[in-house]
Amino acid sequence: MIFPTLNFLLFFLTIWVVSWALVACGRHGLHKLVIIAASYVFYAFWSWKLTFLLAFNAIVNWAVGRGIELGRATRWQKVAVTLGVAANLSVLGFFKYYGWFSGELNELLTTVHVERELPLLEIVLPVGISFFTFQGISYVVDLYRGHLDRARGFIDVAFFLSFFPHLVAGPIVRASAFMPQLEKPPNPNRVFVSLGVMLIVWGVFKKAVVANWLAVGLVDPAFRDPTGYGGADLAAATYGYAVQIYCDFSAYSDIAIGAAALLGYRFQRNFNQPYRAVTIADFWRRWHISLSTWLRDYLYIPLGGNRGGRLRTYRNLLVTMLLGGVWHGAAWSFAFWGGLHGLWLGVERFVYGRFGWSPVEAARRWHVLMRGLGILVTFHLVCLLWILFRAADLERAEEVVLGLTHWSQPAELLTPFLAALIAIGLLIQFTPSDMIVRLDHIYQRLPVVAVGVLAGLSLLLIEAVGGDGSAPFIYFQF
Amino acid sequence: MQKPVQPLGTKDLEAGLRPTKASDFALIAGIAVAMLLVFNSQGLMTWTQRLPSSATTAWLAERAYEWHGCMERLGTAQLMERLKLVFRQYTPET
Repeated sequence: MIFPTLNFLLFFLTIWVVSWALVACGRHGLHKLVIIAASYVFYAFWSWKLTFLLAFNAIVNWAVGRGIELGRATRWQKVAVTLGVAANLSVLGFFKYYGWFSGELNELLTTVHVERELPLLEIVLPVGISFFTFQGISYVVDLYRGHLDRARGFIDVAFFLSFFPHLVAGPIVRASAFMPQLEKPPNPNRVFVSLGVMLIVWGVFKKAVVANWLAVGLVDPAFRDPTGYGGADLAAATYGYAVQIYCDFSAYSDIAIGAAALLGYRFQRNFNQPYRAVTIADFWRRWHISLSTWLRDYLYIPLGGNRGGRLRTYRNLLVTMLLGGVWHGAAWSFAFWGGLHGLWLGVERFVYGRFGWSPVEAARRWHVLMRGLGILVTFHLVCLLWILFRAADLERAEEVVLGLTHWSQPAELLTPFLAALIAIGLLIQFTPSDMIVRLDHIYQRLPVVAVGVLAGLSLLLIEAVGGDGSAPFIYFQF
Repeated sequence: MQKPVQPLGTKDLEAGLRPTKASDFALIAGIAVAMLLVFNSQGLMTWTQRLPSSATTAWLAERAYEWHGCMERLGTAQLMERLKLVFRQYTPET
């Protein structure tokens, strides 16, 4: 089941009614159970068999949480958290990386004429596994670090890990931020309805109109056969993909945050106008914020962060971004994508460090013209690296990059409509940062009926402009 | 114990917004769904036809077909079709 479909609309409206009815009756425990059951049903739409993996994940993390609690102030606490992190990483490693690892190893063994081969298994990649395993790690590590006051019961752990708005493509919700929200039932008189409605309608527009048309009309054909198109089309497809992936992924986050808000729960912001970033460090403060802060707090800082001197900092940045790249997928192109981001973060840190600044601080001190130049350079660097991310393999990525230098062929794919979508995708990066607050003020002044009519009109327009059907979100594959 | 670099979880999205009653959403959703049913009855019909076949879904598809017929007689379904045609001039061929 995917978000901008009638299936999801019916599913969500049913859950919304039942969930608030149970809250109104004072049945908080049952309310949680119903949401957990709904989340498993939501997941079962992809594969009912994989719901057992989700349940296994909840049981393991709950048990590890109990272990950490029982072993407080003893070395067993460390043993428990290590086991918990290892269990989550093993699940992720087996389902996501075994196939890649065994394929690469077998190739290596063949080149050195060794007969033994690792068995190649047909492993189905469970949708959302990268997200719920990282959340499992967040639970056990937050508990170990004392960011969570105590281990939670099984129901709360299962709720946190499986809550359907974030289940398959994030945002990666932190245990320490989310679990305290489960202590009390949500308050039906204090719900951010305007935020929920605005984010859902806006998300559906970004996905159904901008991301879908750019994928179908420009990006997919160009990246399928880069040698068949000239530099103009490949450049448009590269910009188009930058806009497509932003509109696709941020749409999912918006709908997830909006759906959670309407059910009375709060998620962290996941995107903050990333293409207005002045440096790559600034970009990572604005893009997939829940992942970049997760990597910072659970990987970069435990590795030593910037505490062990300059060289160690560069190493830690590189390792963190390399692993962040591989988190997206088991392929060399993702490793290179992450590694190159890490490398550039190191370059920025080195250059600005000469002036005693951090890359983010430096950007703040710049003159407005320099900031504009910084935005242009950062955006183009990000676009160039997106080629690695989008291309089916490294050879195809090379073909796109080489094709960008041949401008003799006229543009075949780029139409005024697609150019307008790219322009919209870029212009929304520069809207006022308090746009939601301004829209909320308008919402507060309008009668609720008028908001309903506006929402209905927006959805009808989206339906009229959007194509038939809805493609899966890009981040489902991760 | 390691301190978090910044407060975990953010309230930045909600900052400056005023919470309201959950029941407001019931009215908003009700109106939006009603508008979709009236103007996009074709979409509802297509959706019911794509459901896995069973006696219930066949019954549902029949009702959706009848509903679409009503909306065609009212003229609301054609409005949506005309709007779609306007945009089809600009959107890529699929």
